[in-house]
Amino acid sequence: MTSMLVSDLRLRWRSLLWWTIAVLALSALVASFYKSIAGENAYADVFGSLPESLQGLLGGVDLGTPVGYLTTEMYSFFMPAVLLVFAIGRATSTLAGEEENHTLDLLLAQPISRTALYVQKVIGLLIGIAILSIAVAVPVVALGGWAELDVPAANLWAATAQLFAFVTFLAMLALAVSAGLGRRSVGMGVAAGLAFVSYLIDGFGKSIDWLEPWRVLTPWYWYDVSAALTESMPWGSFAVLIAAATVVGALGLMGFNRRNLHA
Amino acid sequence: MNSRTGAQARQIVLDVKDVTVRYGSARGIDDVSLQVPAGQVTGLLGPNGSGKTTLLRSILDLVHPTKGTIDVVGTDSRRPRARACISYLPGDLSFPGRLSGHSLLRRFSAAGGALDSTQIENLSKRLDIDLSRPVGTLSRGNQQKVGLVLAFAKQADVLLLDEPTSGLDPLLQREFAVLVTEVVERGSAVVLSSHVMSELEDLADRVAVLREGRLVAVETIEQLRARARQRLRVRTVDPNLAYTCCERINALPGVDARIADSMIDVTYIGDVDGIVKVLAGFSIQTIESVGGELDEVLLDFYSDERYAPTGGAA
Repeated sequence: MTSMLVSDLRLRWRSLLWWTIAVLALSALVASFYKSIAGENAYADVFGSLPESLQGLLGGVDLGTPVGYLTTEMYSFFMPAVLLVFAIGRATSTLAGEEENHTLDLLLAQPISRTALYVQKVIGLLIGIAILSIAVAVPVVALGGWAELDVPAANLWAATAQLFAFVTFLAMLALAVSAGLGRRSVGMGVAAGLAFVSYLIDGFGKSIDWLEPWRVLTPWYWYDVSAALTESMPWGSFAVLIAAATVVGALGLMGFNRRNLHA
Repeated sequence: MNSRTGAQARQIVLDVKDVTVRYGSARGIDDVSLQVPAGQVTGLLGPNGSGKTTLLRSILDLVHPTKGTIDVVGTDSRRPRARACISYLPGDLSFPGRLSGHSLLRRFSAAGGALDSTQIENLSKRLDIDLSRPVGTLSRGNQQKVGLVLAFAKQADVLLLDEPTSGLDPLLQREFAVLVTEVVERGSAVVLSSHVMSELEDLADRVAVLREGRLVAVETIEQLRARARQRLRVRTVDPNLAYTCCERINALPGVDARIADSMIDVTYIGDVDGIVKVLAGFSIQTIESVGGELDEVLLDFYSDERYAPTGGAA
């Protein structure tokens, strides 16, 4: 039964459309800017002169090459951050938001199980994240030739899959915590807080020895976009992120099923 | 509608057995048992915080009982299928603002609400509500009407209506009463919660009274009336005898008499026989009888130590 999924998509398609347009525009802007710096060594020199820890935080690759530019300017932080704003907001509003607005009572007073509702909300969320992840890549493909931003399509789609898996994990965390506790702000805080703190751990961990072992616990470590753009699809990292998202989602469902809904 | 009371045994469509709901340290409901028969209106009465809404929400499995079971037309209430037989109107009605009434009703149908479209049209005309407008732009009363359409457009065996007339004007309250009568005549059971007796007096066949999470009484309206304190105001021909008369009346069990404005003000429960016999010994100028107020009966249930829940929920 996917009727609630269809109903939710009908309810939220306008907002998703605006987000898609915004992400397409941002990505097009960033992609087209490469034309003016392509081949410029000055950027590589400036980047190389930065302390190693800062290089790590910024993505750690050369800005003067298409792959380095895409990694640093688009995929390492900027676009994940934009997509996380969308995904965490949507994830926490879809169940906990409805509960706080007192609309969930009426929905679950209908003959639909909490599991069925939760799963349909997850699918709706994944559709939104997938559309926006693709929207990041589309302008790069479309403008790549003109802007001299030449990256093999297979690598770009591998980066898209990495971005999708990464955002999905944090969105599932936000959904699981907010729906499991019935508190929108807690889900938002936990997911956004983890995204931020783990970004610092992963970034500085590249150059600070004592932090290095902790990197493996951060989602940013498994978000291996540079391997996706330079080599091939890192299926291992993708699987870790998706598996973690599944476990977190399942725990959230257990919490959601067991607890009393707030009046 | 009270004429239905005492009819032949009716099918029990909602069976709440020893249900306890606890929210951490806060009170929920404690050991509540209630059988709701088809074709009757059962009023659920209690002051704010007495557990009315918690009981209704536990029937819908929105809160899980920590103890006890609930059957809805023979189905365990924890199964989603049980909710196919229930219509629900929550007390704090809230709708996503951007949706039109029609889209909103479609959304609940999508969740398995199985609303009858002919009935939707019919109800929107009767309640005079424009379902094409975004619900968020409607007044509180009009949002309540959308809620009523949602509750009554489903062919449900059990209707759970939590303070349904709040925000409705008197004309619509009358229309609401007609709607309730219709579904009850069709054989549905209606559970109507309220904290005001007057809302239930003309509609309910019997009333379940909740106090501090416990069910303290389930009685028909007639039984409640019999409990009501009656009042007599008596004037003796010779004012000097009023005190003597008052003292003799006061000696009767369960009767309270006092002098006010040179009249004897008598309050009693039950029959008047003993009082009449005392008065027969005096020359009486006038007797006024004042009907018992059901609200006072409820105040007794709410505050009298005799009905205080023992070992109730924390």
